[in-house]
Amino acid sequence: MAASRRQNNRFVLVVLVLLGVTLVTLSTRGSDQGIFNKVRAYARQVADPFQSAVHSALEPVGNFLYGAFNYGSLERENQLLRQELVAAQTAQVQAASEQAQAQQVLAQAHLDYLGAVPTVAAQVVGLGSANFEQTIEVNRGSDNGLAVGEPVVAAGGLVGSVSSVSAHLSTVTLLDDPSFTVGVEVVSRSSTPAGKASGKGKTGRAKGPSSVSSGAAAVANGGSVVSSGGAVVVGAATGQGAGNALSVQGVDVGANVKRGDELVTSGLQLEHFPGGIPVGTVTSVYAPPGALQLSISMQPFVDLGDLQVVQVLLWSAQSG
Amino acid sequence: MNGRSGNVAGKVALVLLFGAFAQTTFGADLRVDNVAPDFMMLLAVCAGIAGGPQAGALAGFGAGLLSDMFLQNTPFGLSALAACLAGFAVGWARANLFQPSPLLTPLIAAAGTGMGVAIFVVAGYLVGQAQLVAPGKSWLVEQAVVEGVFSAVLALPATALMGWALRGASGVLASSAEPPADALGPPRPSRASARSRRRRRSQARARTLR
Repeated sequence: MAASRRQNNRFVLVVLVLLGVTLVTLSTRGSDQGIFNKVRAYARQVADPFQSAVHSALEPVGNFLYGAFNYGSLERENQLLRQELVAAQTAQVQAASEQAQAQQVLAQAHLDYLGAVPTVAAQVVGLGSANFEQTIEVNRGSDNGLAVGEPVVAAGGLVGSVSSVSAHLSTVTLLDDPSFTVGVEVVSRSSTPAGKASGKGKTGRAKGPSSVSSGAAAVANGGSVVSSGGAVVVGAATGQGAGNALSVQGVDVGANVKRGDELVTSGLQLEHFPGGIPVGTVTSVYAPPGALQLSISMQPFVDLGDLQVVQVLLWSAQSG
Repeated sequence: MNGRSGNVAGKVALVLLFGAFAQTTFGADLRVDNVAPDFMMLLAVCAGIAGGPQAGALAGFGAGLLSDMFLQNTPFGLSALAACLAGFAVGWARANLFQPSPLLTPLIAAAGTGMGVAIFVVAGYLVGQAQLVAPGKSWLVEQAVVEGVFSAVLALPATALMGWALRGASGVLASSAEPPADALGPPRPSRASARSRRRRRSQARARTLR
């Protein structure tokens, strides 16, 4: 009796494991429009009203608890933000005049104004519940013109990209997700006058009108594109999980990169993002002994744990 | 027999759906150091504790499938595989190694959840999901430990819930393990068996006196 029960248990386990492996194989080999993604999209649509309702009900409680436990740091952060606001308002005035100058230059060269990328504002209605994926749900979908792969920004910085779309909802994979990678370009805070690039080799930029106006702002804030022997310093930033700094790879040892440098999207050919979107700040640069590439960490500009409203750029690499 | 199985399956499905609701609503907001609890893995492990290896495997597979519906970047079926194996392993350990108790159940749930996380990462890596190991070993260990702690805290009520779900219409646990055991302690002898033991003792005494 006991032996037959054990045999039965093993039989059930083998059947379930085989079924699981089959599902994994079919899912891995399937296309983005396959049945599994459709099931996932349907499940998200069903869960969304409950998610929104509970999130709205619990958010004040969560905010109260967060404020109670972090009062000191919130006060310090508030003071810091006030100082940064004053500095940003000053820079904004300068950037506005430089944007006007850039418009004139581009008009003379018969190019479309950079920053004419249409956007759709979306509210964050849910957080991803899995620990191995960093995602958010927003309340706009294909009915609003969203498509998979479109960049998502907030408060002037890159947030991530749209990874799945249903009629009224979309899922955005965040910058710190380990599966997220973006090409970046280093913008150094140098003594070069604002608005002028110090490097000669701005090659490989994908299609002129593809950069957004924030790229002009990144340069107008006194930064310049870093050049090293005539080449722009580019790399690929990859997420390392929630709360962890992003890792920038592909930068050769000897490149002029230092802590505090800012990174923007490179917009190189075949990139999924237009150039010039602010991404983050370099927090550490380390040259491992004997390595050919630098080990660089960066912190995103946007606070990914406190997103309320985002902007989806209706942009794709094909259309520019 | 079929009615009892259907009753058990219905109750287990209800519990798993409730777990999925909890995971997708307030589960995402209950984060400690950016790690959220995994209610579905907890239910799979508790099914193993309450019902044995077969119950753990079946409930784990169902819980994992529900989890997979809300994931984005991993193949469909990966969570089902991980939860099924974790539920079976915990159920097997419960049937062959120890009797659950109110003190031991949280530890088993924590260990089972940690094992489920490890199986998920290893199986995912084997099918090409390199992003699961990209953040490094210390991050993965932190995930497993924090999820384990969440499971330990919620183990007793979750095991009671799965125990209720796995009980058939007659009140007997639909378990594939021997001997059946209550995760909240060993079962007390029934009144009927105590009465029959007293009757046998009094009969034996009467025979001795004669």
